[in-house]
Amino acid sequence: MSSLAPQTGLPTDESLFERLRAGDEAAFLALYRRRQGGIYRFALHMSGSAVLAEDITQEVFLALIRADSGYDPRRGALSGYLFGIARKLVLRHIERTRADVALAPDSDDSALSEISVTDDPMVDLTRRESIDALRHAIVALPRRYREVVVLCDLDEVDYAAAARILECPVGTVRSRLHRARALLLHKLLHNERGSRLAVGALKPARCAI
Amino acid sequence: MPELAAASPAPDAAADLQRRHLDGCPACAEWLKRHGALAGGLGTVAAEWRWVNAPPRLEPRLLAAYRAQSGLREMHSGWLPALVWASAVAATVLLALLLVHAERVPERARPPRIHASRTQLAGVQPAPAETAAETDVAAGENGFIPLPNAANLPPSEELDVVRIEVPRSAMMAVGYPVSPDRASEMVQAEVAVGFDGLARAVRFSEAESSN
Repeated sequence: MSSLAPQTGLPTDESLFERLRAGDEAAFLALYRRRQGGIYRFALHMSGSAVLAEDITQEVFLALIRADSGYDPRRGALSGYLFGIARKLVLRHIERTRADVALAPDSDDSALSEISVTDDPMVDLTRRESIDALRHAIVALPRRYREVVVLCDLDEVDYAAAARILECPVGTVRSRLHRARALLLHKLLHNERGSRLAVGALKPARCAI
Repeated sequence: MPELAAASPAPDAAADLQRRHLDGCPACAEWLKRHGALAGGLGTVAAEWRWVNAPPRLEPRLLAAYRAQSGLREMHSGWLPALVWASAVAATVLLALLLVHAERVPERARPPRIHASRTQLAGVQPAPAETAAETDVAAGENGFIPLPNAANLPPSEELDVVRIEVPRSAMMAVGYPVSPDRASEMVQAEVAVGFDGLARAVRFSEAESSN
């Protein structure tokens, strides 16, 4: 989750932020276009709702442009700050509705459609049906595991930055990610076979050698 | 075994050891195959979703909000005097309302009734209403300042003095300079009210410290 270092030739998030605070509209647009996708995708994966993801993205950037945005560059990268706001908004929504996300997303998210039956979903996860099944499985993960998968595996946020966003130690991020991947495997196999797997299937295989 | 799934290349010896282990361990081979497939699938999802963005309608909406916010910031310094002026007007209205109701105040709650001759107030030239706040304060010997609209009122032989509390910004209406950051503070004022219940003049107890 870089801020686009100077060697890329592009201004950093932090310098864009300084400029937007000074009223530079171009800086605001550049920052928005750079970061909106990640925030929107995170909110979409976490909420399962395109409508809510749009609202959350809007709220995140409104918070940024407010006079009292509270962002302090000394406390971390701007992208982490934005993800942090998005996460808090998602959590607030989850608490308000007192329910986790549904598997079926709303609106035009047709990619998360029906799960097709395949011979072995783990053999070829590049097939369309298997990818859709994987996406369903991600959205159906418990929240604490879903957010690490979305951040680290899908948005390619590094562990340290994810730890700051999630307000937990890096070790917790690693363990949650490990557990999340095991759960994904379980869900995919569970869906495929149509029967409940043994609890042991959740654990990494242990060889006897 | 999880270490076997790591993408970092192992030295030849370690790789050979892993290969031999996997050849003889179906459980590890299966585990590694599944996690490799999962990593590939997650990579595919990430690559596909990299192109998913917020709806385009969001950008102009946020841009409008940003422009409004920037405008607010720029106008902030210009707003403060306007705010003070608005407070002064509001305070004047409040003053007038209080004076209208002053006659209804129970006798014991009212300050001692005093008498003031018209000549006492006449010694002070009332300021025109539209420029009152821009002129210097023209207080009489007793400290009372004629209100801008008092010039249009009939003379009153007998005046009541009513003590009230008003925002400091009200002092601007009679020409006192008021610091914007103290405009909302409350100050004591005495208002000379004519027989008709209308205010003729005002005196502020903290006029000397208004700045």
